[in-house]
Amino acid sequence: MARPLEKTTNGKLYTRPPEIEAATDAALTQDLDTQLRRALIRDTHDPEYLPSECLLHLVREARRRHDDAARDALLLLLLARVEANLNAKVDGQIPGAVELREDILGDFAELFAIDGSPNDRHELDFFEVRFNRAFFTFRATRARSELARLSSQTPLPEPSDEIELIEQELDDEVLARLADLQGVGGNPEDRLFRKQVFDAIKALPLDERKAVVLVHLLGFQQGSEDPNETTAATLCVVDVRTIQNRLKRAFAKLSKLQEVA
Amino acid sequence: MNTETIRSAGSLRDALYALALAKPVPDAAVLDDLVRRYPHYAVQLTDMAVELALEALADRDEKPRLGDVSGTSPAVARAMSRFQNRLYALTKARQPANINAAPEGPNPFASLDRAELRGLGSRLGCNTVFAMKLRDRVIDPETMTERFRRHVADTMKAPIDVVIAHFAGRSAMAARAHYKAEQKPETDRKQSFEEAVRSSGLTVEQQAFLLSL
Repeated sequence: MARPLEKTTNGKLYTRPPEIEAATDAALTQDLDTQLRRALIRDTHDPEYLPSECLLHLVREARRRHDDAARDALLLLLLARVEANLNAKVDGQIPGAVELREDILGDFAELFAIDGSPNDRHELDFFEVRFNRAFFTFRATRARSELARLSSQTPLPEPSDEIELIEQELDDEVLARLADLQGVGGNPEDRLFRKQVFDAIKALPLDERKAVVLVHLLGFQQGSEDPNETTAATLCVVDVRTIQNRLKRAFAKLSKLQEVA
Repeated sequence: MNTETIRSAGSLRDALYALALAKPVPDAAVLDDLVRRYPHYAVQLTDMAVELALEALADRDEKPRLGDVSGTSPAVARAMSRFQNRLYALTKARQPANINAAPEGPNPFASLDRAELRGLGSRLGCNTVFAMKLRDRVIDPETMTERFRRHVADTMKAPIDVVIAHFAGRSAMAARAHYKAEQKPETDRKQSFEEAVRSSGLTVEQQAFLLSL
């Protein structure tokens, strides 16, 4: 039976989803050859596929019982999966992308060295709950700090002193479809629209991107009279007019989507 | 790095993981709750929520890609090397001191991950490579100036005697060294301070600063 996790949130222990718990329990009963064979399977729909949450647990268990050969063999395969993720997700256009991917991969590998040591903060527990989402967090925090470091070395062009507000009617249809974006189906038209929206939002300046996502994807109010209410304005630490202006500028760009959607 | 900073870094990571694991796609309620629980990290949580929402948008139509995991790439081999080196360093740090070896104090660098080490390097006026040399004790402490040691102690907010004791310990391996499992990834040969400054890829300004201390 899989060892319980030790990390807590809000006073409660994290737990694995039932399907991961069951898959981990089953994998623990298998011999190393079987575990390795399953860890090599790439098709996530293959019934023998070993979820990364389970693979990670097997590495930790091998380390706990001082089975270095099993630990290293399993960890190599997990790192290969992580490398594939990094190659797909860390934009090759970022200066130093190759080094950044390697740094992140090495940082991740070091978590296994720290695991169980006096300095351990049980960080790997998060990866046993939802590997991909935990690794997204791990990757994003490191990529962001690297981008911040690079941008501090390469001064960005100063924005114009006078921000010209683009007076344009917001397109109701685009707004409505954005609000429903997470719920739309999988037909080709929806997929095309979603891809276009994603590309367009990613291309927005950071402050506009944050305003659009907070208000139209996450569902925050732009601002509020109630000082205790969390709004897009409070989260961005600006007043509501600034949020409105950012949304106007963003939608001036996003409204073009309707022409092709 | 002092205890408070370590605790903060850990709490920030906990907060970000909590956000990522709460729901497949974060919503206003989840972010609102976490911002209230971790008000100091509201900016970082907000940035992460934005990234998670966009990632979810992009991922919906992506087929899972794992790539070829049958071979070991050079990057994976280097990551394994880092794992082994870090594991060795931590194991070594926990072992009782050899009676013939110089006494080793607590390693004030031990808890620093790669990003924290990079940040420390920046604050020290050097780079990550040089910071790793400090961490791994590959610089001969006899060649360090008192002002440099004081600069490290002040920057790390660590007691000066802890820093001095750390540098006086036996050197560990170069952080990215490759070695086979049965080999001992350690060398007792230490670089002089100037040699370390000259061979770490530091800018001319960084070298001048460190050598002026």
